[in-house]
Amino acid sequence: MSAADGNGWINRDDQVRAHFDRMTRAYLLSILDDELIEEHRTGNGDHLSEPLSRLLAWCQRRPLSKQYAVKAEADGAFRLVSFSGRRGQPPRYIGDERYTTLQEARHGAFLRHIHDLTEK
Amino acid sequence: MAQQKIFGYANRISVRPGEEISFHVNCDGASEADAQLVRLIHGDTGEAGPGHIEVEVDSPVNGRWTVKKQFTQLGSFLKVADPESKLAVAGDFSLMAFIWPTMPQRGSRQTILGRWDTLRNKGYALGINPAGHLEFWVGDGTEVDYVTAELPLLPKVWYLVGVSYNRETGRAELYQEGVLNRYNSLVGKVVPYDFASHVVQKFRFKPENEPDLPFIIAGALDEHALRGPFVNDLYAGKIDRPAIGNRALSRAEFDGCRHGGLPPAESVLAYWDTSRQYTANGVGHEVTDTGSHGLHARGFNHPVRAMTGWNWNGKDDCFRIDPSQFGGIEFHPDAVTDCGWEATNRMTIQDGLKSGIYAIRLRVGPGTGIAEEYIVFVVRPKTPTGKLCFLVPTASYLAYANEALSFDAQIIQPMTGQPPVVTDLDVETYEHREYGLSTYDHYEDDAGVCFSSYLRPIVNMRPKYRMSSMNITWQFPADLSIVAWIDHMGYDCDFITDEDLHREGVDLLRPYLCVITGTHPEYVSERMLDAQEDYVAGGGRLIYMGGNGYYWVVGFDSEMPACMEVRKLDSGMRAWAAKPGEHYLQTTGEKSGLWRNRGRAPQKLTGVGFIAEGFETSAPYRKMPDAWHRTVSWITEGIEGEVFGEMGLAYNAAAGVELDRYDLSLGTPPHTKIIASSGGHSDNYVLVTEELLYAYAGLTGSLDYRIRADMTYFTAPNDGAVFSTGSIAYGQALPANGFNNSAAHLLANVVNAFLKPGRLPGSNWTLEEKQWR
Repeated sequence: MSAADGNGWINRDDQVRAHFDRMTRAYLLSILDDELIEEHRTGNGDHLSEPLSRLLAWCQRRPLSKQYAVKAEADGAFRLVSFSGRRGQPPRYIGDERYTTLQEARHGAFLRHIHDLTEK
Repeated sequence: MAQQKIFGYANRISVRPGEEISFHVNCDGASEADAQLVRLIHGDTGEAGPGHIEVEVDSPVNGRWTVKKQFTQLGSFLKVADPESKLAVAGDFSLMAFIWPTMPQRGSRQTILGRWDTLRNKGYALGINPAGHLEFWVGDGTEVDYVTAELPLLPKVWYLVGVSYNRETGRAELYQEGVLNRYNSLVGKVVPYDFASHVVQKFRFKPENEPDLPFIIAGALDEHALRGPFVNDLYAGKIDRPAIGNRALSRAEFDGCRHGGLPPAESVLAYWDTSRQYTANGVGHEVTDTGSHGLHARGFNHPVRAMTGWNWNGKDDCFRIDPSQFGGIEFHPDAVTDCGWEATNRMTIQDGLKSGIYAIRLRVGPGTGIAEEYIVFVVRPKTPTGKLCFLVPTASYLAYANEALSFDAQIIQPMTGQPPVVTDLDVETYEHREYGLSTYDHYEDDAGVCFSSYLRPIVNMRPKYRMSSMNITWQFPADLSIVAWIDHMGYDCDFITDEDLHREGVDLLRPYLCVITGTHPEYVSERMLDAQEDYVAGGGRLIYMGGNGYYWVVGFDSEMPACMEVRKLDSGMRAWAAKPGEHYLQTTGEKSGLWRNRGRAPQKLTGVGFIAEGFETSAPYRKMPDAWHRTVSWITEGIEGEVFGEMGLAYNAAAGVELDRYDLSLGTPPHTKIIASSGGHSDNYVLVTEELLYAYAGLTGSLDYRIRADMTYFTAPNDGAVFSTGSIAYGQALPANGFNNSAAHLLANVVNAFLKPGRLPGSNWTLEEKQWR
């Protein structure tokens, strides 16, 4: 059920989006395997396989509050954060992992999305 | 101890020896800062390049500066000049305005108009209460009385609202009627809502009129122990033709106004005709009171004008056709175009200081991250001395100033194809937001930001900064890669800014043999474009070092040149879309949007124009057949093989990020040569929307041949010429491998040729059959 916004309006578009998301997740779960995860871990972001492209499209198009980002710490380490989705509210740390490289951190964010996908 | 952080700005972005510049600093957690004048050479800390490079410069301003906490007035509003307190009404009165609230249920009080002291509860005002209902209130310094409408206001719907107040009896009657037509509001007549509310209340208390209390439209006076007086209870939305009358108007008289009439002349204390003062060249900041007292109002933080009013008919799309339909002034509680801080220090630019990009480096405490600030400015020559001129694209720096797309724009990750990389500086500035927004952001009420100024700290106009959504340098710090290459090559180069060019025109460029641009000179005023076109036509040589340049039509505020305006509309890769009827610049009267849609596609000046953008990866160039043409083969002299530009600081190659394409149908000069072209970009590279008539699947890098950067060259009259790289990433490729790379080598061929007066290389070959090797 969609929640009302500040004006008391319910955006029914959210219901359709949720239906589309259910279909997309069902497909993604059917193609998800270790090979796909390994492709992301070792890839350079260039030409991707179609299954990985579709999986990343789902990760990246999620609502802002469900997206992850990398925080570059002053000491050179990288950590994962999650956006609040609310204007002016800062992101919050996700987990305690500290990554040595940006590539590792981005793969860590990807694994978080995979966790979200498979938990639902 | 409080967290130590320091931010600042200068009152000028361009200054000459002998001229003064002032610096305005806000500091938390320290009372002194270490200040050092530095010349900036390179600003990308990426491992593939030379890292951050700056040169400390002797200056009388170096040393310890006394700094303090300074406060910023957020929000746009109008303040009325009322030196004789005519609006401290002793008797009956009425207030009215047409309003189009954008966030009636913001959860905080919003003042539409009045003379109200929030701290002391004195005066009167008409506004919107935190629950989104129209409300009128008066206060005597102890008690406050309210009358509130029964129905909440709907967002983005025009209403006439008002109140009649009888001081003697205490009778206050609210007036609220919808005035929506087929065009002017978010919803139309088919919506079965009740917009009207009329409520009468008998007040127990009478308004106390302090003599110095200001009359404010879209805000109310407040006060804080440390900060002093400021404007609070800011309103979000449009206000059209607010007025105050000297008696309690009847409901019939309000109805007359609702049908387009004026309030009875004898009743008017002040009537701010927001549709007055338009000219063919725009409108300024003063709002005329047509009443007998002439109590004109003045805008702060750029209330947005040239906006449709309550009576917009949907046909007349510009204020130049009928200004009376464009009385809407839009207010935003989070707008800021001038922080207005006290000057912390000043300096007069010393004679002999080399033209270049400089900064005052300020450090407190640890001196890194948010405890370090660079206040950047350009020192232009007292008189032109160099052969080469770097045109610093300051208008484009303003457009992106303090952008926060990673935090607010859901679309940014699908665009960039990667999670953002944010820093403490990004989080700090996002959380506090007191330094304003970029033209890529939206205000809190979701309206696009059309004004940006440098009279505020700009956190991304500093060295070492990486744009979080893309994790590369962008605009100013990216352009420092070109600066570093110029410095490395030892060229005698003068530096000027967009602001200088807008003000002085082609005369500013004429002394130079060659003008070189930044990586992304995207925002251009008509005067800037005219000057560069006239320069090339007159024999100048232009090197366009970027991608997606000469794209948006912008104007500068003649009263505040630090402030730029743009309206994004119709087509183009754009962060927001101006509403119907609001496509014209208030600063100039011109239609904004893309230059392409005004008959001046960038191809006409540079040979190339925006075709695609993408992130994560860049690609090299491949020589095209023209590269071997005798008239232009000198450009690639010494570049072995067909492929070049295989390294760089922006995703490891020279063709990337935003790409431009040769297109005869958009005005590429027909004799233009394509020296090289990139291709094979990833599917994160997508075709720009202005190219789309019908959308179809596969308008991406690996499927559409148009998605590429074209490196082009053409000659112009009087030994002029234009060379274009067609790629943002090219500038960031120059410092790779210690400046020893094919992209840098090729650019040196072009600059060296352009810096020699007279005939250009290859110009002796005139017979076509002899021009191919």
